[in-house]
Amino acid sequence: MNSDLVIIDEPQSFYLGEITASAPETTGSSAIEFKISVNNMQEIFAFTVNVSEFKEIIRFTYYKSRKNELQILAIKNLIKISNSLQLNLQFSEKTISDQEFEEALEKNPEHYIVDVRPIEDEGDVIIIGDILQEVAPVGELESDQVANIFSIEHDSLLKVFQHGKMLPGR
Amino acid sequence: MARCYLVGESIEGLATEIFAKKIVFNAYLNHPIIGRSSQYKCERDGYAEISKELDPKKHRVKETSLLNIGDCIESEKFIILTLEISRLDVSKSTFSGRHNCNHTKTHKFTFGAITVPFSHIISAIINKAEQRKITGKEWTQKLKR
Repeated sequence: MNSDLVIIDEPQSFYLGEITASAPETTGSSAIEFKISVNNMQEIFAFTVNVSEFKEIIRFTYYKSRKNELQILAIKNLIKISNSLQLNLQFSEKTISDQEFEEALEKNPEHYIVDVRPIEDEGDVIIIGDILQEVAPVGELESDQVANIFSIEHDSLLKVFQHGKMLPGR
Repeated sequence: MARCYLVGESIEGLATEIFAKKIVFNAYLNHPIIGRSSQYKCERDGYAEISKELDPKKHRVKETSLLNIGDCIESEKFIILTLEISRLDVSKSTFSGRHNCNHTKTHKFTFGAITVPFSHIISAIINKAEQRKITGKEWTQKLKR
């Protein structure tokens, strides 16, 4: 028996109690049996899934949770970009001094500066593509904008596209 | 003196001259190699040229970047990543007898990369790809004969 089969990072309230699953090796079948009980009192829910179905569930759950993470990251970065554009505008219109401008960036870099890094999981690009399709009616984004919004180094994003043999351009 | 026209091609220098019809601030970035830098977007036909080489002359961001004085990128749209955090002074300039454009200079490490090439270059690449397809079909027809 595999107890504590906690694969997904969900809030604690999700777990009503102990979740147990019997692995195919022990049962000798290609199905996994789940049993859910509340505080070890009584079994309230039990179900069996095929291994292939189970993999699909895990894949879908990962997709959903990663998509959620990327959406929150995008909102955070869009706020940072909006803040930095405002700051830059104030500076160019001379409503704030050089010192105030530098202080704002030094004291609160997390409000203005977007961290970019090389892409770690190329699968993220597929999820980003799905997010962009949903926002497409608002307006198309260019590769550098996508890279900034999703905290990706622009060059590594281009490499993923070139690896996929997409035509140069947008 | 080399020139780049394709997506992803780039230059790296200690100082650059930038000409474009539209030069706008894009974002402040914390780049894994360069560090804290500001990103500018240059649009509607422009070019960026290295006016001062790196010392030592070694690639910092991308191994294929051009590094020599006078090397430049030319495209429809490109991005500039510079260590200059304070706003760049953008001034009007007469690029040619008829056309005006905006001009600016950077005085610290600058990385420039093409994001969208000129439209005629995109169509040339597509044409080439189509020609290859046609020759591929011809080859199969010849083989069948």
